[in-house]
Order: sequence, then structure tokens, then C-alpha cells
Amino acid sequence: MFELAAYLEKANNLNALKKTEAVIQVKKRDDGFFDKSLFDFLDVLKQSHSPFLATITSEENFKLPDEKRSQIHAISNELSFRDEIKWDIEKLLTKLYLTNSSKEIHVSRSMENEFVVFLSLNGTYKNVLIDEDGDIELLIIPVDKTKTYNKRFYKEDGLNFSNIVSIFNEMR
Amino acid sequence: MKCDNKNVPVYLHWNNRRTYEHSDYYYFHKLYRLKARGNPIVIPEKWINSISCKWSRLVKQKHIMLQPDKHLGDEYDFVFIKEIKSYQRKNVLIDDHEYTGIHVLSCILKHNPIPCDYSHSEILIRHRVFKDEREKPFFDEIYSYESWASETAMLKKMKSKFFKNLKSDFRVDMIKLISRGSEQNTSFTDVMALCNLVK
Repeated sequence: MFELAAYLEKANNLNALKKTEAVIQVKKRDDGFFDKSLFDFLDVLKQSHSPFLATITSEENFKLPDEKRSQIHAISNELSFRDEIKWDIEKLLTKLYLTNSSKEIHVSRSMENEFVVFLSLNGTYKNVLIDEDGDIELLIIPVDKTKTYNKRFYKEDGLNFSNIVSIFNEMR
Repeated sequence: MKCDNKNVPVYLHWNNRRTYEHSDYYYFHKLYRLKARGNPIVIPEKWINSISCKWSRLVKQKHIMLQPDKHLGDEYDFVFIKEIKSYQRKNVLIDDHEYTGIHVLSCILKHNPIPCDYSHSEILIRHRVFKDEREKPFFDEIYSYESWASETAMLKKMKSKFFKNLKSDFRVDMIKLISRGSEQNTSFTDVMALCNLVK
């Protein structure tokens, strides 16, 4: 939050933000923080299709909230995942946060000892499953479960997280 | 074991009555699977199981949702036994491997009553590997809960792409198969389904 405020200050881009069609106003408070959470703020920007979004959400300027990082580590430790896999999960989750509404993103674990990131959208469950080897499965379970389908990606083949998240976001 | 839930009717308590075999599950029976947490993939922490179900032969429709130990929501999905018994997943491993051949996964039904639910049943995985489907399989194993949890089951312990894909395909198949919603559990659906199943 503070980092975003500082970044915006530095970039002097608040005026640009005001020109967007954002539904709510994001105001800087006396203490230097904004009166909306970082993720509410990002959600508004996503809805407004502001080009400003791309500037502030480059991954160098973005960090997952501490609460979410704690969850990742707690579940990964429970599953005895290596540090390398935990970092992969963080990278993947960051990309998901930047391209989806934060309120829809949940983390958990599966029956098969996989780390699960899922979005619940109108009864459809969109799952990203990461196993102990770092292999990834995208699993879509629609309301009509007979139309369930998946795609798998293997670490040994090289994982392109941007590409995987892009495919995931396209899946319905 | 004493049941703390007073709502569990007498007939549903196990009381060490006999257990049934795979062949006792008739094609017109149904298996009910309670929906846990909405997302079928996610489970309550540290609760790992095989595909746990209730058997229509031993539970009345009005008691399907009774859960003495844990509440798993208010809805369930169901499947006809015929569909479970006729299910097969066949993938071929062509790489040079100890288990090169035709891998066939199918389902075995296990009556596994628990103290307050005599109908409790599990869908187990039967894994066979054939060099030639006309001959006997050179590998034939039914994975128990224990073998799965301890990762001694071949399908669980093998980490190559082929085995991961096979396991993943099976999971997707099961989600698709056990997919009739509780709102469809009516006499009309039964009649229509049975007509189709008999065909």
C-alpha cells in the first residue's frame, strides 16, 4: 500500500488517474495512504480499462499482500513443498492478482496434496493446481460438471507463467 | 461407537451388520456424494479420502444429508451404479518402461460402513496393465485408501508425465461422472435414466 502511494507520488500520475472512468474516487489521506485497499484500487482500475493499470502493476511494483503470502507458506509447508515451488506459486499468484479481481481469488489444497488457487465465478470453479514437483494443472469445473476439462503444464518442459495465466484467464 | 447426533435414524447405524460386495451394487442403485465446500477439488484440511459416497440401497433419500461428524453442505451429486461399473479410462504407455502397455482404470465399489452411516461406500480405483488386451493383465491392483495415502499405489507413486496425466484424467472423469445434482433425484429421473441404462 505504502509502496503504491510512494510510486504514484513519484510518478506524479494521480492526475492521469482522475481522467479514467473509475467508478469510485481514490483519495490520498493525510497519512499518505489511500482510502481504499490496494486491491480495491486495482479492481477499479481493471474495470475502467485504464492504461494506467499497466504502469503501476508491473511486477516490480507489485507485491502480494502479507496475508496471502502467509497463506501460501502455511499451505506449502503443510504439503512439504520445496522453496523453489513456493516461489513459483508466488509468481503465479501475483500474475493472477494482476489480471483478476482479488475478491474472487482463493487458496487451498486438494485431495491429491496439490496447492490450489481457485476463482469462483457464477458457480464455475476455475482451479490452478500446483503439485510437489511444480507441475501445473488448470482445471475448469463449470456448473454443468459434465463439461469439466483440464490442461497440464510440466516444469521439465519449462513453465511460462504469463502464458499459463493468459490461457487460464481465457478458459471458461 | 455411540452416535452423538440424535437425528440419525436407527436403521442407518451400522451395528456391525454384514458388509456387501462389489457385485451387490445393482445397476439401478445410486451413489450419492455430498458436495464439500462447493469446489469439488478443495477439501477440509487434513481430510484425505477416496471417493466417499452413500449407497441408495441403504439410505433413504430424506436422510442423505445427515452428517454426524461434519457438515458438508446442503447439496449432493449422484450417479447410477451402471455408469460407475461401465466406466473405463484407457491410456497407452509406449515409452520404454517397466509398465509399458495398455493401462486401464476402472472403478470397484467397496461397502465401508461407518458407525453412524451403514450406507457409506467408497469408489476405489482398479488399475490393470496389459501387453495385449486379449491376454491377462500383467499388473492388476485395486488401490485401497491405505495404499493411496502411503503412496505405495503405483498410480500415486509414479511421477512421470504418463502417470500424472492418467491420474488427472481419472479425476476429471469422476467429476464428470458423478454430476447429477440433487434436484434431479426424482422418480421421473430414475425412470428416464433406467430406460436409457437398459438400452
